[in-house]
Amino acid sequence: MPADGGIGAATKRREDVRFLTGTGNYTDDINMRGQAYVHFLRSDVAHGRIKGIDTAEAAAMPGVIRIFTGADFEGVGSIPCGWQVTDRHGQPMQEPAHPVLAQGKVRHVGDPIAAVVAESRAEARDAAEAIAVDIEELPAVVDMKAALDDGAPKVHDDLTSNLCYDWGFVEDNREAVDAAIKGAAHVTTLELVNQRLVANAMEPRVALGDYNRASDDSTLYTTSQNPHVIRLLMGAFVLGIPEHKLRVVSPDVGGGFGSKIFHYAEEAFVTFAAKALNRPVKWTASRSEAFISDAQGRDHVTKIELALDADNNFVAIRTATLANMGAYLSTFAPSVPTYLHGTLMAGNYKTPNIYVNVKAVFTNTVPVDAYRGAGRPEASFQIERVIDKAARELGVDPIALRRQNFVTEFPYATPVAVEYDTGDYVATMDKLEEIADIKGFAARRAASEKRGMLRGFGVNCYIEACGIAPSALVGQLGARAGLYESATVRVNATGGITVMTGSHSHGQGHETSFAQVVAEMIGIDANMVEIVHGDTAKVPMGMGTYGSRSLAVGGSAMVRATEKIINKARKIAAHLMEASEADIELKDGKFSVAGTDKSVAWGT
Amino acid sequence: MYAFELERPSTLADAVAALSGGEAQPLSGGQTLIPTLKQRLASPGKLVSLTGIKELRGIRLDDAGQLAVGAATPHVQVAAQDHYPALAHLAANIGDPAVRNRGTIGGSLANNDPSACYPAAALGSGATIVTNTREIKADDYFTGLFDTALEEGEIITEVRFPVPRRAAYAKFEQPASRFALVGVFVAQYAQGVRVAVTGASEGGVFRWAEAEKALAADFSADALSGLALDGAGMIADLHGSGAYRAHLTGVMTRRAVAAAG
Amino acid sequence: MTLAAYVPHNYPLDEIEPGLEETAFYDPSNFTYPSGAYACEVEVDPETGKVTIERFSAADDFGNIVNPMIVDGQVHGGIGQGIGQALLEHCVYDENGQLVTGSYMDYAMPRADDVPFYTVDHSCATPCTHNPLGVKGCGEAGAIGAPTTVVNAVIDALQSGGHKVDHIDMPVSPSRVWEAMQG
Repeated sequence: MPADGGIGAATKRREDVRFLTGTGNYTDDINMRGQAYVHFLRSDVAHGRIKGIDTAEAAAMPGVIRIFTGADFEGVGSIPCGWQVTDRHGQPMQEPAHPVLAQGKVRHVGDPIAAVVAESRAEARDAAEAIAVDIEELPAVVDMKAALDDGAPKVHDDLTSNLCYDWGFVEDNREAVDAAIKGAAHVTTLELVNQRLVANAMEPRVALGDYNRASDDSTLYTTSQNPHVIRLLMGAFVLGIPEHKLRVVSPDVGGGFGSKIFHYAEEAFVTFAAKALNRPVKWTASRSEAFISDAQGRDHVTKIELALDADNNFVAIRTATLANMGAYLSTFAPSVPTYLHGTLMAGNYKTPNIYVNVKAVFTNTVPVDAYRGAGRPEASFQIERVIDKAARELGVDPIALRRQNFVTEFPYATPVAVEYDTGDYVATMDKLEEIADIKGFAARRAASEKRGMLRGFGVNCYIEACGIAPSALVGQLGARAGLYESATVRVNATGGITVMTGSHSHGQGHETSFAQVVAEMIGIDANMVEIVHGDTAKVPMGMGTYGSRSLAVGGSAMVRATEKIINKARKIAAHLMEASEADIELKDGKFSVAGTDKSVAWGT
Repeated sequence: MYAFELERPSTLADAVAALSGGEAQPLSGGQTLIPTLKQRLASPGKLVSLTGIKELRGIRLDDAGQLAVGAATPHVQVAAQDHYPALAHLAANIGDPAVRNRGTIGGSLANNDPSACYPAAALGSGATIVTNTREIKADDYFTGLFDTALEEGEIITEVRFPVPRRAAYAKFEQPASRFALVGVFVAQYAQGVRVAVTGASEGGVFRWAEAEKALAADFSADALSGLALDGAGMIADLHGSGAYRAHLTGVMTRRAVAAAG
Repeated sequence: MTLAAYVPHNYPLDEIEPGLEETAFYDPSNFTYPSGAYACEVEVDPETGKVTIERFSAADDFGNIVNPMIVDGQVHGGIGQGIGQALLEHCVYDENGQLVTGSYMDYAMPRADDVPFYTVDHSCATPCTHNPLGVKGCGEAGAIGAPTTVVNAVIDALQSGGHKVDHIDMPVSPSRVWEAMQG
């Protein structure tokens, strides 16, 4: 292992030096000459028809450069959705338009109605308050069940209802599942809620658009987990800017948790406005604004049934879930309750029959999308809660019931379309019982009870699908993107290495861990390896960081590129030492000829 | 925040004069007012800062043995005094370090947030709220949610706490804000026992008369058994129903009595 | 060696190009499947319904690990957010679609004193079979495993006190626990 840390070393994070000394370079730290500021006037009603917007008074206020409304974006594309779910009848989901600024209607509190660009943030905000918006308030749909009632107010007038899709998974399993539940010795039923959450990254979202009139190049600096995805979505679908004329930079980003995967209206706005005004335009969200404009998480209501035979073996699981989409489809919203949730409903258990039904619903609330775990916590919560309830109903130990039903042979093909390649659930449970000191619990409970407190022990198993994702598979499932990853390994003349990765670090510590991998492979110090990410002008087209994919997919790309480097370097070394390539060995950063004392160092 | 004028008088007289114009509003530690201004929920033309007035700061025992706290004294200083430990404990658990270093007792009592801690201490101690024009008994001072007996332009200068034989404050925190979901201040004096409850009632801080009577006869948690408030008139929100707050009032009262020893 | 690639005076130019820079695109053949088992011990105050997490243990199988300290940190953060969902966080709209929890005054984020010290272990490693590093991913595990663990522990505590409570929806706040105990 390299002296300063290779694979397996608990190396301290090199990026923390700048984060802890206040020298990080976050998007809001970037300021450009001539920069103007935008403030978004956002809807304060959840549902309403815009009858008029009078900007005359506001436009005359000090510092105001220009006020934009939905009318300015009529020729501009809709913010796209990156995943199309096909429903249980073979029909595509209902997919509403999502304008950059509201057109005709507002659909949630926080929906942007107008954007004031001014010389200062305060002037933009002052002027926004002077805009007179005439809104006819409409009844809002908030509750998902009510949203599906006949005659419920429609969030999108041009859709047939508030139902985005009615998805069955696996639809072919349905009859077998129904039959298995009918014939089961015991069925445990549970209705539960995975409540809506706000992602709350420490750094609120920021977007800064810049335009170079001489070259006709646009640049967007943004708090994104995946700058290439933003470049593709915004360039190709919203603004019509080809990739070679559009650069997206995501510098240091202070946490994402999923909420910074998605392409947001504010990003398109600042890019559009910078070109329209020929000035850089910056937006910095306040915390209050984040609460009403960042995509939110979870918000599922579920009924789950677990059927067991007379020996307490799981025989079937059937679920019915309502999943809230909010007012518009955020970038990956349709995939979360379906392919990131239904595919995980087997959990760690060999349940032969599983059927999942999900109805996705539009409501007059902030859009919902992936939040840390994205669909998998929702699945795990259902399975593991219903197992606990079943154990109690049957009078058996919840750990024993789990152990009895664990998948123990791999690979294991689940009834919900995925194949687990490896795992050892017995081993992790054994380890857990040891580290949790389960044997000592009774004494701890007695001590708590002595103090008048009730003490409880809870256990839970989980499995998740990470390393997102095999492109061909997710393409069949509705993904409109490939989910590979990229890396370029650039060896400099004196031996230092620059790695350009398509993964993006916003708290994960890639600058440290990715360098450890390359250093280990070559046998050089990790401090000779620099990791570059977050800039479409520097990094090959990559898909970014979410779904615990960076090392599994981005790291693998980096390993492949490093292998290519080593193969070529071996040829060079063989030439330098006038030896056969087959005799060249690489160890500790040194090439040597097997069986001789000839060697050549990696760098100078 | 909208633009406003800021005055920083160094004497009480100057502050009173500065506040006499209609548009002016006093600013103490600013731990409620500044966030309100930042959200543009208030737009005073002028703020008159009281924290630079020396005569409003500091803690002393007055001639009657009461603990007299200057209105512009921040919570950390009240937390550090040892004349009235229950009051120190209460102050030490308000908000977070920033709030305790900036927030003041006068600001808190003038604002009279229904979930704030200090109103329970003032009412529970039978304190006297001294202003630039008069002295107001705590029993007459708290008149409703965010409402007090203070007149326009009237400034709290000092709060005088009779020091009880024993006292304690028990707070159950609202999980998000960590204000009191229910906070109960119990104090035993020669003349009787006072029990003041904050956080619970739609009417703001109040005295629980039945509990006071029971504790005057027997100052023990057991003396409260059988006593219960009902949920009517209690605050109900996503953090708890009126019935829950009524229940917690009983629990926190017993705990305060137990803590007072 | 590296200098020779860029100063190719003595270099096999007839076989390979100068320079040393390579790009790879990697498309996985399957998902990876991290798994694990979590345990939590809580104390429930039967008078107030307040839940305190006393112990929390996590045994994860992430396959091979590059930096165990970073993995620990990811698990700690995930469990913290999972506890946030289990006990505290709740985004609420009223019937008119107004956001009731629009600030930290009402939206409860987990703070340091809401979480215990964690015992985490990732020694049970079955390497992923289809990627070159044998790694599975650790970013989300804590947030997936923690919520149910906490809720299961709360139900166990209530049952131990004779309360016939099967389920409480998250967040398992003091008022919800108290309401559940009232039947």
